[in-house]
Amino acid sequence: MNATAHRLVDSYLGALDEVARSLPRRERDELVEQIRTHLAEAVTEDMSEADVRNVLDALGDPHDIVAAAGPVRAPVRRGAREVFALLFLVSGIPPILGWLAGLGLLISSPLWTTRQKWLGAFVWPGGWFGLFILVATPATVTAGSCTSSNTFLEPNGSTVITGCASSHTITPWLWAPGVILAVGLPIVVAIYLWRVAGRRSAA
Amino acid sequence: MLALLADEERYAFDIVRTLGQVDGMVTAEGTLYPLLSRLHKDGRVTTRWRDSDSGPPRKYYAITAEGRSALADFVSEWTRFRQAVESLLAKGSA
Repeated sequence: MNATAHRLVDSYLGALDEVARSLPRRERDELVEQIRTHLAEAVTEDMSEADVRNVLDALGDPHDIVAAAGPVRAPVRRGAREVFALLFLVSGIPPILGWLAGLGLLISSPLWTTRQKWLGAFVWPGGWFGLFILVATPATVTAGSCTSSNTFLEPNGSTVITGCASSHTITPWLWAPGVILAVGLPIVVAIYLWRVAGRRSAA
Repeated sequence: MLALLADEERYAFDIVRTLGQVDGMVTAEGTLYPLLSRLHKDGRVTTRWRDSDSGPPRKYYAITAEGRSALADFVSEWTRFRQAVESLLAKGSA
């Protein structure tokens, strides 16, 4: 396959893959693979651009191909699974179990792509509750180790704590953006995931 | 498609190209692939990989017993339909 043929074939396969998003994952992969194999057989090194275009025209419009694969499946609607997936993921309540339940629902839903599922899983692991634990735990640990290792007795008898006051107390100006990020980002992600699920169930 | 496979196993590209060359049958070759997948899913054809003389191995499709019975059903249905249409047309021109 020469450079021009490569470009045409790649853009055709890209378009097909995009249109085939409405199909279940396995059928989509199978269809794209079949067409890729077809093109590997049909398009040869010595072909002109016109020849390649004729091969692609004979295959037909990606929309028609996907439509031929389409009507066997009843469309999946956005529903309770998606609602609970997002509620559990964002809240993380009950601790650990809630987030895991949300993760299970997220993975099982056909309305999200793999990338969107990763996004849902990593903002934030454990949900708000997990984040709360994460923020609360290291602070107490640092505070505990601080008093033992960094406390000095000055010659005049007064106690001085060095080096750790700022490490476990988050500086005030960091609080506002930190809280907004921690609490707000899951909401933004949830709204985004809710919308893409709606778009896919409508398609 | 099943009729094409009645006598020998073929690979997908071969099936699609052969059907594409039959005048008036196929407007978009690509639409035959989902059909082939469906026949496979319904158990009317089986697949196996075979080495090819040129290039990578090819997946060959062969008709199953179930496929043959579906083909026979279709042939008898089609014959009935054709005879009905022909007799109607004969009345029309008489």
